[in-house]
Amino acid sequence: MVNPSEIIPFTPSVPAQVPEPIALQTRNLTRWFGDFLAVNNLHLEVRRGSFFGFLGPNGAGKSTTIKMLTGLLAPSDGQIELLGYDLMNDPIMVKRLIGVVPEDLNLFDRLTGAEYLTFVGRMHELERHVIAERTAELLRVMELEDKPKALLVEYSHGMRKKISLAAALLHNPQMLFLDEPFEGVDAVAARTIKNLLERMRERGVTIFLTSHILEIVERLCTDIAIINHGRIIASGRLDELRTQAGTNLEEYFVNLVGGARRMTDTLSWIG
Amino acid sequence: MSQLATLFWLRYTVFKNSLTTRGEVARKILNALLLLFPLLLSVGIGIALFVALLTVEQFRGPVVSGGMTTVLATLLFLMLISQSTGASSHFDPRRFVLFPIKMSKLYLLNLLSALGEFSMLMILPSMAGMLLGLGFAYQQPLGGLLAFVLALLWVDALFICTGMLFAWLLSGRKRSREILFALLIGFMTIGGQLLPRFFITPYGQSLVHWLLPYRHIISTIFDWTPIGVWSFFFQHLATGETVAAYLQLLLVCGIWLILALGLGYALFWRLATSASASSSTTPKQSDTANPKSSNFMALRLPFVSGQISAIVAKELRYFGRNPATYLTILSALIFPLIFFRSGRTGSGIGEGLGWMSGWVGYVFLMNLQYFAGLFAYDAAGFRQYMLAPIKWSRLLLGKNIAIWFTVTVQIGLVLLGAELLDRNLTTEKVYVAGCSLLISAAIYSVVGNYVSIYFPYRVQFGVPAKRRENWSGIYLLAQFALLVGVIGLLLLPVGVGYWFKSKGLLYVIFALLAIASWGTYVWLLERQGKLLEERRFEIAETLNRKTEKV
Repeated sequence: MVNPSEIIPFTPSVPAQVPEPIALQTRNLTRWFGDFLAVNNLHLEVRRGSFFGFLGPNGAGKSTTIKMLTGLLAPSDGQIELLGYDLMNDPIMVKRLIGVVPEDLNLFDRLTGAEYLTFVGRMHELERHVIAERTAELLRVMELEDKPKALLVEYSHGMRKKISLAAALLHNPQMLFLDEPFEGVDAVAARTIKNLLERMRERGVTIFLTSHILEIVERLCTDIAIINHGRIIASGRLDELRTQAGTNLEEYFVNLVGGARRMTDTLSWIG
Repeated sequence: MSQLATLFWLRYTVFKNSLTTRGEVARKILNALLLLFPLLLSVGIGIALFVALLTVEQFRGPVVSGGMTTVLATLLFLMLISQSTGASSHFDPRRFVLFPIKMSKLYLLNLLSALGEFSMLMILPSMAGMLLGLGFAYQQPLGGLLAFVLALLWVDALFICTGMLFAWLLSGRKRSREILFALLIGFMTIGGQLLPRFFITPYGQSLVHWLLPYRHIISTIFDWTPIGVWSFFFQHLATGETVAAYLQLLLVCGIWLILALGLGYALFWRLATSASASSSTTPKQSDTANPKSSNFMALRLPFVSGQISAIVAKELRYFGRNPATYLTILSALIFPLIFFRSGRTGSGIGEGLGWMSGWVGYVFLMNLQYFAGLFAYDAAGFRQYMLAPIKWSRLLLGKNIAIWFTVTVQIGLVLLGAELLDRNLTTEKVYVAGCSLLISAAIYSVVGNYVSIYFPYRVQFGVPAKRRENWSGIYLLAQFALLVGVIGLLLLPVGVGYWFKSKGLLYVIFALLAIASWGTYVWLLERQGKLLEERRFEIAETLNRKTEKV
């Protein structure tokens, strides 16, 4: 095991020669809940076309951050620029360009899968035939087409995740926010989603992902940031991190957020 | 700490922890104060009944024959409110199934906690006043006490049994059960109003004449029910047939108590052991791979954008799939049609036209929950609006259009009913109904939009539940304001027309009011949209907040 004292918070070793286009930039992003500071003065940059993993232990501020980035929660302070638009000033424009799968899903329970996708497509003002074609395709790819009359309230958790992802992809977004997309999803569905995300990344879509499953992050992500107690404690490219830290992501993460110390604790009645 | 004590501690802690803000504390205090008045009234009624039965001899007869029936009917009605709103405080067995606690113990605890329910507190003093009062009046205080204790046990068992039945009907998120639930509620609420009216109709009279020869049999059957046995008991006590009175009371109460407890426990057990998660229900496979139902969602309305059409389509889909909508429509239609049939619609200015305005106002009032709870059924779906590139005023407009459509259909059915039943539907009545509809639609939308934005609440499908604590007060206030304001406004032109004996004046005032109300709606829509945008986070939080219930 790596000694926690040896862990050096990761920063990119070589500054980029040519400034890369930025998909997401936050400045002083802060969120208070009463007296509790959930997100503390966050500065975040995500390169266009990157697969960005946003990691942190439970309660670190991941979901709060992603909610603020997608307009689902108002920041107490700070600015968010997404794909060249200010989220506060141009929310409609930003919404046209992003797709979101929130952790607690945003579904209309009493619509069928096809109805829900049609509704989302129409909200994005897609042409009718485009909606019909993409809906059919998404339902097929997500393996949801064999239950066309089932309401979303009758879907299993994994099915709900998949329909939510389908809705996020329907309007062909330039940036995708996924908050724990693999939670409660079976291995087959997870593979489908992973393949889909990889193809999207190859096509230049920027993906912002939070996940507790570090193997997935390690396999998919090009860049990561780690948040703890509302602050970014490490960020940069994943391959550079591996080289610099000389360990895998799990070891690095656990040691960085203080998990190694906690592992020495035991339960008195178990021994 | 014993398990029972732990459960009460849990309930107290959950309550204490819900007081997270000063607003919540204030709301709880306000609600408690609001409850205080009816509770004091209830105690007052109980004492008054007791004193009246002891002192006024003529009063005893009517109370013996119909007292308990009235009290039990009131209880059933009050139970509906608490049970159907999810406000019932019974322990949900699903939350405890993993703990090493006997279900029978939990069930017993539910029986005890039911005694503290609002509806029980509302009727128990009357029941005590009546039964103890009759016992003392007939010099049988112990008999009165026994009657009261048995009534208490039976009512308690019935309360829990009904609560479990409702919980079970809604537990599986199955539409068939939700519809059954809506029908039960509908029968219990509307049935109470309709049955007495039915018996004064020719059909009702015929039925009464047909049943007349069997009245002794019916009376005997009634004496063996928990509604009629108390009447039997005191009648026989008064005539000195004490043994028969006590025997029948104990026997009837015993049988019905066992039935209510048994059924309640069976439902309780079933609820505890049935999976409640949505994932447990497996949708049926369909033979059609092509989802035709999404065609409706592609509905395109003239004159409005595709986004607004999509909102309207989604709202109409929700109306169609919501059992509560059927109940609303039934409630909205049943009274106007009964009154039409009763020949209460004349054709004069003050009579026929006034009634027409009044019925339009009534239909709107029945639909107030939709105007004032625009986002109530959306729950987590509200976040989809936040993520969609749509202007908030458009969202409001789309939702309003959907409600206007359903209300227009209901008023159309009232007019059609008027024509079919009374054959006196005139052009002027249609004109008045049309203007009343326009005026009401605009005003209800303006007020409803504000209430929805400032006081959002969440409603489960099929049944209002998990409301915000402030829901009832604001809703009732809006209902009262709209009842007085809008119906008053609708009757104004009729009154002026009647006063000046001028139909022309009536038409002009109606038209002017319609224009003014629509001007107000259009003028305020953008502002309301901005307001909604500002308050969207609070609304989303409210709609997603899960009320802790144990």
